[in-house]
Amino acid sequence: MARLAEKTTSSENQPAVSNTVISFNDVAKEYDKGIPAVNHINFQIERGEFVFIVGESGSGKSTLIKLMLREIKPTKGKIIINGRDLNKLKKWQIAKYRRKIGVVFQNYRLLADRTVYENVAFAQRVIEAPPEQIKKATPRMLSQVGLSSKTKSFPGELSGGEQQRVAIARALINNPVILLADEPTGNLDQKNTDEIMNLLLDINKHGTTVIIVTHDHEMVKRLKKRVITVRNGFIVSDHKAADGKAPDLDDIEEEIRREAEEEDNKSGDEMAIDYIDVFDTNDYDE
Amino acid sequence: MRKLTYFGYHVKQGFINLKRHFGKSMMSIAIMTVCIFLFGLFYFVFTNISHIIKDAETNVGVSVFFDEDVTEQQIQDIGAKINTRSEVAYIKFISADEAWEKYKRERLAADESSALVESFGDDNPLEGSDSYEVHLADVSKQTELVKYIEGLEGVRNVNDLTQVAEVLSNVNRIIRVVSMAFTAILIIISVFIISSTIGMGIGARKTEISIMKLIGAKDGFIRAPFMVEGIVLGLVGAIVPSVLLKLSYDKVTEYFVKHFSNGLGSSFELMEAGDIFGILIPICFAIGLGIGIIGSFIALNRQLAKIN
Repeated sequence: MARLAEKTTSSENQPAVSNTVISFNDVAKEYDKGIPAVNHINFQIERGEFVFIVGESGSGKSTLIKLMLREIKPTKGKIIINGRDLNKLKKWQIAKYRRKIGVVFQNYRLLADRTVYENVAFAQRVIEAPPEQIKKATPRMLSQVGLSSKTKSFPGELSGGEQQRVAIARALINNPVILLADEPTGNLDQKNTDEIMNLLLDINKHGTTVIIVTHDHEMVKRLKKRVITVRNGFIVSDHKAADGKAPDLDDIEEEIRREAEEEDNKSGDEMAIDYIDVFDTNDYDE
Repeated sequence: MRKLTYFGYHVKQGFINLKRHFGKSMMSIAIMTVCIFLFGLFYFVFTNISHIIKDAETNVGVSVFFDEDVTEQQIQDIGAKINTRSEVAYIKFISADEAWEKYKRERLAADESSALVESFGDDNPLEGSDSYEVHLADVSKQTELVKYIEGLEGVRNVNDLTQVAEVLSNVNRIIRVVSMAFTAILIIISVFIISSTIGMGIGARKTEISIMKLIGAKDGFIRAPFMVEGIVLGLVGAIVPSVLLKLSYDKVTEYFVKHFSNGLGSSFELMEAGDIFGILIPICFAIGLGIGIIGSFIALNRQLAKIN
């Protein structure tokens, strides 16, 4: 635990000088007409930040990931990631855009019939990297995630933590600006969770913006990083860790719970907007 | 340059797909073989009938036979009259003896009926069948000319090929329509089978494709192995029937030479294999490749959008 706490010195603590890498401006997404999956989403993430997006199942987390990956387009609002307005991104430009975003999933999504080496090399191959570059970069990346001795193993022969390391290696091999991890420790025990989180913190220390989508409140509390909380499709809080004063998730939760109770009689939409009013003033856009 | 670097990779992946669904791939090839083979058969019949009609019209011309009591002078007069017609290229007198000699010669060459020919000894069974062979400068005027000759005194019979040609033309038209309809149906079936085979390959690589999409693989890179698969299926599906068609045509030609080259004229000679296959083979390959490419295209368009 102490080891984890020590690592919480990422570049997010540096003053941001218009270095926004992700920007959501009043974004809404409706799958069925009239029922928004997410609504009034506003947040900015600076280059080099380490951010948790937390929320229960069905809160809209997955929609946010899909929006960031440009799997879907927002019904309303503007998303700018890595300098690109995603609404204006042409279909043929999506592939190139995604090369700058590494993604990691809860279920690892490795190719079971290929070795660890092949899984990582595959990510470079599909973007048509020169073979010499693949030969150099793959062992280097596998060593970085501590899997040099497992290059010839198949995913089925690895532990969950090791599989997630392969997935992280694959996500990082093309030098993304942002690493997006969707419940990266969801299938892991405590020891492996710690290892993976340490690895992600290390990656962040080297400059990559890391966004972790999770519902693991314990882990979020331990790491004391910026936390964006999503509920019923709305951002209900956005607490930044600043100058070592990490947000206390228990306090945040309590605050949200109290507000929810107070607003219980209001309609869903009004309620959510009120939450934003409450928490927007806290520490967003400092 | 990079495209070339990965060309081998795509080809390899394409073959892996083929191997993974070997049975279905073989079935696709079999269906395409049937499709292209049948198309080839129709093409044989169609082109050969066209060839026969053309031959009949240009080479054989019109045979004019005379009444039994007609004198030599009258025959000459008839010849002179026919010769004055503008649509006539030239006319040739063929005496009954010449006709018999020619018949004997060609029959003997074809050997089988030589005993029958010999049995006539010195008698000429075509006695009294002197004729003019009228060759036309303009085949389209044949009906007009035949009408004119038939009106001449002393003319017994005019063997005009217009009717035969017309019947053959009609038959050919029907063959063309039927063959086009059949081919179209078979092509649609082939495209469907190929697209379902490739669809299986896409299904089997769903995880891989979804990862590729997330990592930032271009659409073309994702599609390439499946296009390779379609092209290979199309090519093999064209090569097999092409070989079968060539073997069949050689057999049929052989049979025709043996059984129909019996002095009835050149009208029943089949087209040279070279002439026919010079056109047929490229068409077969175009159909095969077309089916392969369209099949994979349909499968990709239908399935890739479903994978995130």
